[in-house]
Amino acid sequence: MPKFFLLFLLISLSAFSQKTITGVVSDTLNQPLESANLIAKPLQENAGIKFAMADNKGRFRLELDSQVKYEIVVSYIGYTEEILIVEPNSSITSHNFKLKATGENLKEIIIKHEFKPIIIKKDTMTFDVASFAKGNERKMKEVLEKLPGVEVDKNGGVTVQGKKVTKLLVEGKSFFGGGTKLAVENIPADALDKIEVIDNFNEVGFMKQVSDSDDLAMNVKLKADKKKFIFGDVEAGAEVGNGDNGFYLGHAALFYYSPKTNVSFIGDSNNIGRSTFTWQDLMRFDGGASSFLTGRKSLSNLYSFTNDNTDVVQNKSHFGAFNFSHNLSSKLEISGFGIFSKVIMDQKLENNIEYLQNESLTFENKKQDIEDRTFLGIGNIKLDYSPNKKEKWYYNGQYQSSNNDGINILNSVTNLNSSTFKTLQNADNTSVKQYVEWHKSINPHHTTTFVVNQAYEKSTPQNTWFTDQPFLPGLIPLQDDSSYTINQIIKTKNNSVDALFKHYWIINNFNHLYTNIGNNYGTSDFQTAEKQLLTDGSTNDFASAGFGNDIDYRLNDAYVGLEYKFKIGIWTNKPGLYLHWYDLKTQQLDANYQVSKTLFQPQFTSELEFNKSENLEFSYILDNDFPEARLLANRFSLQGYNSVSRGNALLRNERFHNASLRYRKMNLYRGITWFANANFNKKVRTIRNEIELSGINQFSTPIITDNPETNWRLYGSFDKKIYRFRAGITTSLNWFNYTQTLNDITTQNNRNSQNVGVTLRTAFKKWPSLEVGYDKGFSQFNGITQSNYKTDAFHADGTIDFLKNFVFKFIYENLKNTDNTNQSNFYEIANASLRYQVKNNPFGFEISGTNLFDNTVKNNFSFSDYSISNAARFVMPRVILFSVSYKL
Amino acid sequence: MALSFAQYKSGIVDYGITGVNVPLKEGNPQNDMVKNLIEIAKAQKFELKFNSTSSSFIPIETLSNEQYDANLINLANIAYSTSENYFVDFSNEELLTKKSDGSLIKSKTLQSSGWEISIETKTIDSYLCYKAIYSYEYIARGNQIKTKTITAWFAPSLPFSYGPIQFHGLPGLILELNKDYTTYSAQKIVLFEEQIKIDIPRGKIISIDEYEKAILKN
Repeated sequence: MPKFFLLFLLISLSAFSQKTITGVVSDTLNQPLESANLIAKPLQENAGIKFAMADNKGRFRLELDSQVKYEIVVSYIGYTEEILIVEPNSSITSHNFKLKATGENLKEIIIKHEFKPIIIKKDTMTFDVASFAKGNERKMKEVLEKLPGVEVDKNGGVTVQGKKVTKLLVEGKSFFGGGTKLAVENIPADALDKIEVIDNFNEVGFMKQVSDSDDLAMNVKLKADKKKFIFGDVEAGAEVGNGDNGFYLGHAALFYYSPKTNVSFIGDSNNIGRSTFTWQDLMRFDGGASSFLTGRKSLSNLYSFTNDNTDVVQNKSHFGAFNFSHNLSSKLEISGFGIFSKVIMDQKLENNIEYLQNESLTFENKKQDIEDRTFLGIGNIKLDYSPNKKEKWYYNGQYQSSNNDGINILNSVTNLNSSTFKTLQNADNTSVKQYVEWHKSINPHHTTTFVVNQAYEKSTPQNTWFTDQPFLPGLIPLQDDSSYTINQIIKTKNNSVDALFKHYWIINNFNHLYTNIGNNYGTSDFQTAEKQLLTDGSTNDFASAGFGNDIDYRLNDAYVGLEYKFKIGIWTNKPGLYLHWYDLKTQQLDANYQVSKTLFQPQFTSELEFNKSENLEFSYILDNDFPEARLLANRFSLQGYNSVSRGNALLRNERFHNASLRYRKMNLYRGITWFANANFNKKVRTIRNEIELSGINQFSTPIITDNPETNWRLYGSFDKKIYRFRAGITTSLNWFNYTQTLNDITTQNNRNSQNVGVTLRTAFKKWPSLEVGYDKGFSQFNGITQSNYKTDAFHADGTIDFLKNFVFKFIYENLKNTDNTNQSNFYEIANASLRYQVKNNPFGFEISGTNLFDNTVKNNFSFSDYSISNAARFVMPRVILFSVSYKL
Repeated sequence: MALSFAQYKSGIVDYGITGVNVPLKEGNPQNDMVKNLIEIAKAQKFELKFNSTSSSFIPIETLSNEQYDANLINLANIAYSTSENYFVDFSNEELLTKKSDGSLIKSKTLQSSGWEISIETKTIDSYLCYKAIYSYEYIARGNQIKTKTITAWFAPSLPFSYGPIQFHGLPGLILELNKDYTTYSAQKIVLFEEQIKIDIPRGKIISIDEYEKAILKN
């Protein structure tokens, strides 16, 4: 059939003359057929279709070209169609159509569709970087800040319309495990072509269970000319000005992307406390476990790699990381990353501590100088195999090794005593983790997931204390000597194998049933040993005084669970019931214990989705938590220069109720965002340390009781656009009530805090971006004694572009702490930088200053169950740095 | 049994998505994601209700499968389907669009005269359908004016001038419609001899101009 498209219902401008046919469409009983359609199909080329529709009396009026031959078809559902052929130049001017009923009285028609694809170009939904960026941006971060609704915080976190980006991809591949900081601070702005914001990109594709998360992914598309080339930038800076501290920085970020292979490298070396990755990034690297089985805690504490790094007096950091991915075939992809980091840090702290005891007060003035040397290496490899569209396999293997070397010099002055301790710490940590995930979609109604996680972790910290005076009298069996050396070795070995089988049954559109069968098996071997090394060369092993632990621990948790999800209108519910069989066995020097428990754990989630941008969610769970080996080790162990603890072999599971209510509303039209969250946690069986305090010396042991612990947390935020500003208010309230035993006296303690903050920032693209904010906080402690303090914090920051090629940035913050005696301390920090970069020129120049006021300390108040502390943390001096960067 | 056969005044048509034809480039790392979004989009169903004066087109709410994140479903709707509700008032030629954030936006309906009917036909399950094309201009990113083309296949024997999304005004029910990459197809049609009620949402109605201004301002 020839294909022409001609205008319909337009009076023809062609040379053809017009002719009109009128008439009536009715059934055989002369009942008019309202809305019956008449299609006049030309039976020759170069002519268009004509049509008419019958009115409520069945009347029609059809305009035709008089020189064209037409086939007029009248059809009406439930009637046989009628055809009239109109010859060219026919004189016919009226015709009545009488349609015969087919006899079938159709009420429901099922269409069996044969689908014929037609491909039409599509409008893309990505941010086109070129239409937002000015061209003088250096890193991806500065481009993101210019995209509407996108924000980047100072820790490299990215939010899009208030939602945090939790996975960062470059060309669709995970970038260093998906953390945002490494990407936004390293990917050069001029390599970006498009930025796609993907609401929760699921690696596991057709299967992943993350339905209740607010996760968000961002995918970076690179410019075509950056593919198959190495690109990136290098930067070097040195101290200028009056200071002579030898401050420097060197940074390189290099990338290679091709359709099959991607490689990225980031290297950094500096001594100004600039951290290359954040704690969240590290947790991501550190993961190595399937997202389906996340219950286990990791042994190693790598926090020092990501510490708030300028709050130290010295910080030298060397960092190297590479990331790669390669498509071995269309079905198999291999990806991985390696990270090496070395941090040398020197921290200085001063604490004034008030120990609150029943009968007396003890004051301690503590000065600490901590030098840490930490080394970390992580290697991770991941295989992604998709044998077909309905099946997916993952394998992930990770090896991690870290070493922590530290010297801690501590000077403790109390109202009774003064002593100095030198502590050497050396910890080696090794872990090997791997998992396999298998997902299969059997048919549209049944899908399954099977996951096995295996982990081995070993940690061996060694501590040695040196001091000139005896310490912890009555708590450790010291022999008199001219000086004292105590050595402690702790060995922990954990092994675990966790497996989960999940079946999703989609019964119909409104009813789903999920079945879970799983088993978590974990063993732990925990040893501690302390001894005194005497100056005469002999040793005094503390074992005879009840020190030293060796515990074999085995916890098995087999479970089955059923979750039923159903929807009534806008209301989605998911009640679930899990049945756990816990079996805990411990073997220690003096006794063996076994606990077997069968426990029901109900859970319930409910969501009212008023519309896509307003919803209310409720969730409840009854859960049990078994103590780890360390808490069950029932012999003494030295914790520090002023504390000794002992575990308790009789501990059982803690049991708690957790409920939360969340409300969220975003109105794009009115520029308003609401968010409110209430969380309630009640422990009905509690593990808490019982403490014996004598002066500054503490002895603690965990006990299990039925004393309830109740915690309420409320959080709310409101954000509104007013003219060209955005104003926000946030508030958080916290109540915590628990029972504490101190020196055999049991009290009800309350810890409460209230915070309220307001911010105002510019929200107009042509203006500099400026923000000011003020936060006020109150904290109270109420137990054997009472104390409270309040904080006042102000912050301001901004970015100003001027003279086309200059960018000026500044950050200012201050904090004032006031305690209940109205004593207060105050500090302020200001940083600023000025950058000059000509568009399309590879060289950029920057002068930056941190701690411009040359502040020396940051102060803080805090309290624990039995102490109030005023801490002063010494910070790095003013650093003025001049740096040059070069784009490849 | 009555000798005259039913003349239908109203009806309910279920539409599904039978195809999403995104041209996937070989080796594009996002292909997997796109395929996922397509799978999700294809699961979406819609309900068109009409009587003599008005119509509504609403996605059929289903329980989101736990395998898919709600956000991913939203994204699939944005990319390859629609999550908005459309209400057409024929007498006043008004289109009311309920956005996913609940906003109600009033605009003019598209002009029936914008359709170009071709002589190309195909049968969809025994119904002879004609092809019609509707083109309109819109402003894309970067202030470029682009043309979007909608293709509809309508059956003259089904005398109802309605169709999926907001498309209507053809001499017959639209059984298949191609918009962007996506094909919407009628799957079930239920007809009534009496008028059925179309529920028009209540609330503050703003004009499309006001809405666009507010969005741009924010």
